[in-house]
Amino acid sequence: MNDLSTTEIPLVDIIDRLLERGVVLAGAATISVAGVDLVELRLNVVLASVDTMDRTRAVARS
Amino acid sequence: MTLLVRSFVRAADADQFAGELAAVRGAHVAALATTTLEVPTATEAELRDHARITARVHRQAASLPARFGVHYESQNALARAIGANERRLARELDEVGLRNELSIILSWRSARPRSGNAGSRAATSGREYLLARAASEREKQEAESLVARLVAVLAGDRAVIRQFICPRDGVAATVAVLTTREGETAVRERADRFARETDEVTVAVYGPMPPYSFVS
Repeated sequence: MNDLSTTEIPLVDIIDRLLERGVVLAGAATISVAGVDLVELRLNVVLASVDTMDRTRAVARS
Repeated sequence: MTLLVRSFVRAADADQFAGELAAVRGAHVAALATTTLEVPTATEAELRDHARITARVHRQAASLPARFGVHYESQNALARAIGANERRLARELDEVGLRNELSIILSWRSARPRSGNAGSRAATSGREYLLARAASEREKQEAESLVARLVAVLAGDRAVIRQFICPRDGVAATVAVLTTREGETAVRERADRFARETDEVTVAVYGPMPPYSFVS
């Protein structure tokens, strides 16, 4: 049994939410972390964070 | 000049953000953007800033949050993109623009052997690989069972709940709940009830936030 806690959302969850969810339009978008480009989007290509890309690659390899 | 898109609102609502954000209008929908000189970088400060701005917009008007990093080199390019997506944006604004998202995070109380994607981890032997995969599967099943119990307590329609099972070490699930502003208290009370009835995980509720998990 435990109590509910409500505090500021952890950074890792902010990253998941802001980089993997939200509206994406057709167009160009480049996401960078610390100056290193992670993904460059053109047209309707779905945006993915590094973690998502890693998971996708792991699935593709298995 | 770069326009970093923050949120989408109804065109009629865009004026109230003048001076703070640049508004690029379509016939029915407007994008609210920050004008910057450089391509955005996803640092912690920038991400928290984006979260703050989208939350502020959402408190003032029906809105859809943009994914961080969507940017355009000119107002014309952004206007064309709005035009190409306007029907979808208008529909989503009607459906979820006035709703909030709450995030419920279920964290395991006891340490577990690392599960996640066992296939992507280096195993020193075939036996270790199989054990890791079995542990991963067990954790996933337990997490799914917990989420099913949470959903039953929330008594919500699955259409307004999105679940993410075992998203990272130590976390059984994150559950995004779409709720009306008036319905937040009921969701929190039900999550609290679930927390009191559950030993396996700790329960944390975050939000309200704009409906990041319910837009496309």
